[in-house]
Amino acid sequence: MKIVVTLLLLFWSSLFFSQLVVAQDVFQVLRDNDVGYAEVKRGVPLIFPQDHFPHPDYRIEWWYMTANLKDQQGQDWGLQWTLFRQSLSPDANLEGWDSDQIWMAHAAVTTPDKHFFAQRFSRGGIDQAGVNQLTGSNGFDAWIDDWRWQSASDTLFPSTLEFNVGEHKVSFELKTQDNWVLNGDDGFSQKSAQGQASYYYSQPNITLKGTIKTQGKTTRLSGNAWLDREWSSQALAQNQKGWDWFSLHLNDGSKLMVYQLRHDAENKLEDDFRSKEGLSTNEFTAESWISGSWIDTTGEVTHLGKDDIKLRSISARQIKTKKSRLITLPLDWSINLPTLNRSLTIKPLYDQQWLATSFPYWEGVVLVTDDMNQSVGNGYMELTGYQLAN
Amino acid sequence: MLSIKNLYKSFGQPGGEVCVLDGLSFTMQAASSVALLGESGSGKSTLLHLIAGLDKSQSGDIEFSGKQLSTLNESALANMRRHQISLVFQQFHLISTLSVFDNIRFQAALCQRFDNAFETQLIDRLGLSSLLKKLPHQLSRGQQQRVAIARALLHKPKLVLADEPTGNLDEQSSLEVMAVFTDLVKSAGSSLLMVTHSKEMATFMQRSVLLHNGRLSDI
Amino acid sequence: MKQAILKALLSHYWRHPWQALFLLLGLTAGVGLWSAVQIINHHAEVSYAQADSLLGVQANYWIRNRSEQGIAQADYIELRRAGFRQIFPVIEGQVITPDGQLISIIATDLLALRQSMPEETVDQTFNGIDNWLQLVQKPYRAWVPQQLADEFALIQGDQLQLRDGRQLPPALIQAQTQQGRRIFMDISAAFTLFDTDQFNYITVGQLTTEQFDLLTSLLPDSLALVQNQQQLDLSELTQSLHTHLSAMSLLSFAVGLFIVFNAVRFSLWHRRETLMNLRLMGVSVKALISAILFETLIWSLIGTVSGVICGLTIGNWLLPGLSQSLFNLYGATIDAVIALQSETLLLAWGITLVGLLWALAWPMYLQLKHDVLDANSPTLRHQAENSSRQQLALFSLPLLIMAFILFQTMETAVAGFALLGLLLFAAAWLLPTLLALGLKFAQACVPKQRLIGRWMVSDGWSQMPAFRSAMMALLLAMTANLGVGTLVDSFRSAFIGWLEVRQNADIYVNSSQSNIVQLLESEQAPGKTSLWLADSHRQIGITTRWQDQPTLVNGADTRAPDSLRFPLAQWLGDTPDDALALWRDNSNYILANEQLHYLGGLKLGQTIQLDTDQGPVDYQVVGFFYDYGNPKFQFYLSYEEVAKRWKYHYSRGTALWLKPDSTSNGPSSRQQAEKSFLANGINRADWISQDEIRTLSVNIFERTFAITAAMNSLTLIVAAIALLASLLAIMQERLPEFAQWRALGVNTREQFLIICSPLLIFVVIAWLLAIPLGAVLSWLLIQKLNIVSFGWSMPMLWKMAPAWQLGGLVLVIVIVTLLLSLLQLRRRLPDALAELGELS
Repeated sequence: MKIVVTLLLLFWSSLFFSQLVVAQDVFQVLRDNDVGYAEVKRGVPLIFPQDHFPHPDYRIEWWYMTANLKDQQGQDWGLQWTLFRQSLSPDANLEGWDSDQIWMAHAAVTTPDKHFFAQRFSRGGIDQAGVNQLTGSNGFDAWIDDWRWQSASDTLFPSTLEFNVGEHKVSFELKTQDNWVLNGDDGFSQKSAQGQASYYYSQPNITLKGTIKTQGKTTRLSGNAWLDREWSSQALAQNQKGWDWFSLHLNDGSKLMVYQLRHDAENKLEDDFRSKEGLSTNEFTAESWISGSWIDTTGEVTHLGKDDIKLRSISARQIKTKKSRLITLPLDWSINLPTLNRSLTIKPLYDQQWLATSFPYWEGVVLVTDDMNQSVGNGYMELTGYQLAN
Repeated sequence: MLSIKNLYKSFGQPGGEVCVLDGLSFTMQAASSVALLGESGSGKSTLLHLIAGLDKSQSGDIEFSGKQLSTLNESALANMRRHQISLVFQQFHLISTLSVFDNIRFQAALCQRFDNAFETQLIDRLGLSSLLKKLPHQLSRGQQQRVAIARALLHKPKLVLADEPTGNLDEQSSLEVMAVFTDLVKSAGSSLLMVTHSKEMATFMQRSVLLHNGRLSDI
Repeated sequence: MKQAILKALLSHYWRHPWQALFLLLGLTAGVGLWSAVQIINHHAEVSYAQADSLLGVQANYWIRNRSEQGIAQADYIELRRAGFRQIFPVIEGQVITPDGQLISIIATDLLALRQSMPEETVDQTFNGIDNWLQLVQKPYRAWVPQQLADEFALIQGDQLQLRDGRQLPPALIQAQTQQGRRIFMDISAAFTLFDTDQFNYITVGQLTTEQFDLLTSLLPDSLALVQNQQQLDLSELTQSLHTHLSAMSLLSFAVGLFIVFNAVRFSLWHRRETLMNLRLMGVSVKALISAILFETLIWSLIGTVSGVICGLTIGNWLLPGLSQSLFNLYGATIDAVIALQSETLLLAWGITLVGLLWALAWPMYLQLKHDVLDANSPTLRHQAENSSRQQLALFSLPLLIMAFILFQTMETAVAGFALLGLLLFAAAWLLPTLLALGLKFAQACVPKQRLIGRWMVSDGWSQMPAFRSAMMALLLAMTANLGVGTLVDSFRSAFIGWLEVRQNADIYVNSSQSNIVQLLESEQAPGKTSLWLADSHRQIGITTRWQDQPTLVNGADTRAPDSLRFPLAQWLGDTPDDALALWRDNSNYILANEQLHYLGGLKLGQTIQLDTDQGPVDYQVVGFFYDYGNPKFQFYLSYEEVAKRWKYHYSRGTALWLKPDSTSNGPSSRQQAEKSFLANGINRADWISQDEIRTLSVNIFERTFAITAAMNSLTLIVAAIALLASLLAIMQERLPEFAQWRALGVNTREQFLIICSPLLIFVVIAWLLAIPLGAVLSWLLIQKLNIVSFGWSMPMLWKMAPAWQLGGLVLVIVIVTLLLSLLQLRRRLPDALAELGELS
């Protein structure tokens, strides 16, 4: 009896401890509770073009663009451009230097050989960064310093996207004709059993073309882009470590978005043990929150729940992060959609596509193959919340 | 061992030149002891200083251990004093900041010639064993004198020059000290040239000479 | 064998630890003060080298408004959006605490700054994410350096109170590079604090040629991109202050050296018997010398280490004062933490070794050159003393000659200090001869029959060699004290007098208010008689460079009350008023500050050229005015002339003279004025009254010279300790002698007289010599050095009071020493008496 109690106590205290440990990572801001901020509620319709513009009552918001491109030689390139908004206080001051809004942007360029990224910070209210307010006559403008995504129309497209990452100057024109995709339950995207949710919509059908100039050399590129728009006041539950997200453009014109929010706690010990042993954590627990959207060639959206998606990581490898520290990431995945009879294998274009920013994560170009190993598309994958090896 | 020929030494005084040693000649054998007698002011101490190389004569030769003193420079003279000549003067010349033990060993330390058995003998016979840790100023005159003797003999010099070593002691102590002193000198195998104005003290020596009018004569 | 010799020599210190202490004290004191100044001078230089950085981020250029007005936020944002990311907006300002202290504030966009820093610096600077977000969010934080926090007794979270009732944001106590005594905060906090919405300037980091061109093309006409030359300017500007400090430290080293000299002589003196014994026992002179040299080496190492540790402590103690001085005078900031350089350590060891050897060489030579037994005869000693005294006096002559030559050709501060050094040393070497003369005089005065009198004099003679170096050290210290004291007093009086003339308006109102212009226009409207305003004076100015030095050109109302009484040091014509009239009536005449004359080489009547919007224009110098405390060059032209020649001038504030209060029981003019200000939208923070500004200025002055005063006191303390220690040691040594006297039947009174009188004669002679020497020193400092270093001239104000005070102090020390030694005597007498017969 005593032994059992002791073990339980140990077990329980280690949970407590591990939760504390986990809770200290940089993604904590997403787990902080939403006291005072506006709550994400089910049943609230998303209205456009209003909802393209900022929602300052909510704590966190982003405009997230990824693009899969090919150059004139047929090589794969990728772009990522994200503008994050964060409110530091529930009734935020919007204007002036004492604004409570902070803007952060990440931009990345995946060339056929190497991945480059950059990070920007700015305070809101001073025009250094931001997204304009909808007036009906001034279109859409999202910028930070000299990075800019701008459209004359408040429906966001057609638009131009200009930014630079190191020596690379990126300039693209984006177009779409298609409808917006509301993820989850008409845009109410639940993230955990406890009820955390965000408002989440996407535009997967963007075509773009433009140039990347590097040291005088200009590369012409064209391809598909994907825009994610999301805002909430508490994106993650306390016990959610991070997530894995996929946005795929399939060659037949259909699109797939899948994400998984990984939990820790009960099986943290198990996960730790397995990763220490160098074993991949193959099966994620049933507690992981999995969700997705399938957009077929006609543009019809099918919401996918956890029974519709079998997500499994095939292989984990080590990559370099800041200061030569290493991290083990599950880089090859298999996505099985039984209800749609699709079986896809996801592999990154190359491993080293890590953004060593203040909030570090892996995001990069992936190639999709079917179970016959034929190429069926490409896309982007995002892996967040993984701990460093040491 | 020591050979002096025709030594002249005079001093400049307010009243004129005073000639202290006037054509003095003297020889001394190894392991012998000589008492140097004379009246006060007759130049006994001067002679000792000259032999020790502490002063220079106007003319004459002093040959010690085969070397002419006049040919030696300051370093060589110092060397000579270190290794071969010991001084036992009235003022004891103990190093006031070192203990008795260190003082005894001092000269030996300078010329790196120790003899532990002899050291023990010296300390015992001079009655210094209980005083080893004390400082010179904590000792009586007699005790200080005995320490000086021990120091002078430990390294077994060729020649010991003593200038009234018992001058500050009472008669009883003087005799005691002299007896031990001369005995130890013999044990060390050194020669002793001692200035004294006491006939009793002179009896301890093998030979006596008298310094008078600047010259020596045997008695 | 060497060991034995060393043991014999060094055991002396074991038995007489006070001697060792004495020696160590001298070394530590001398090396300590010297190394303190070396360390802080070096530290300051390093800080200047970093002057072109802000929180570790490079500021190679500045964007400034040509009219010294603010820079609009929109202009900054525009540059940001054009892709310039190595730029940061800055607000710099000053606030006043209730007790009249000025605090400097510097503010920038901390969010943007954080982004530009290298990773390591970020972690270091902003420890903990939570921490730094507090800085950019209400209620913000004031980043206060530790030394400032200590001064104002602030702890984390405290809000510093200001004179006008406002408070600073909660304090975050943590110092950063280049922060000095400034408080950092976020720009948004500064906007609120200074009630403005514009920046003072924008700092810019490295620019490639293309970037430079692009930036220049993007800037509106009113803004200019200028190179940051702060580092160069600072090094040059502060050179004189640092030379000043170095000179003072060398003086301290000299005093310390005298103590060492004394101590070394003592220790050799005490060991003369041991030395003789060693020679008797056959240790050659060469061996003795090498043993003593080895001992010197050991002492030099010990002395260096203890001196440098002492120096670090003193340096850290002096640093706040120095940084205040530097900031007040030159706007330079230096870091609060000092690090020790290995070069300083080596240098300290070098000079210690040299000093020790010098202190040793002479006495050792004396001791060892004689034949062994003669070396200690009193006759010889007396002869030696005489001859050494004569030799010193002789050696002082070439020093005086060199000093004279140097005086004629003195151009630089270094030459000036060299001159001082020569003079002081010459005096010190002459002192023994003067002391001897004094004794001879006393000898002559004493009636032949009085035995006590003759004994006293002869005792004086025998004590002279022992007292000599203590007296020399005392002379040096007293001279320095009087000289520097007079300098500071003269300066203070000149400064205050000057303030009274220059700042004789009743209220000064800050520039950036158009409200004041409005108010003045209404009060001074034609036909209206103001109830409270008697006169006003608005000044404008521009900043430029002349002979590549930062220069101000001011436009003043030539008929304002203070312009009519410009304090001129030199003028063209018979009277100052003549020159001022010329300046008033003719726009081609210009007034220049003294610094331009002494440092810039300008002469009266000379014509200079200034760069104006219309090209170079000639002006003739018609007068030089006193401009204390200004490290920059400054010209004065008429208001109209400056407005005409330079489009982008800035306002230098407005001075107001109030009418005398009416005798009826109404509000005073001052109250009426303040009411009008507030009514016209002028905030309390924007005006300052004459007494407030007077207090501020005097405070700044006092703090600036605090460091000089500190050094002065320290040197005097060191000398006093030296005197005390050497006197005590002498008394100690003579105890047996005193016992002998008692045995002979001398009573206490007579004993006291005999000991006291020669000593008093020596001290009085030293004091008497120190007075004229001190006067000469201060004259040199004021008339020559100050001018060469800073370009300020002032009349020398010699007062006897400090000399009397100093004399009194020394007297007290002597009396205390005598009393202490008499006490000692009383205590040890029985033993001394008992030992009487035992001496050889």
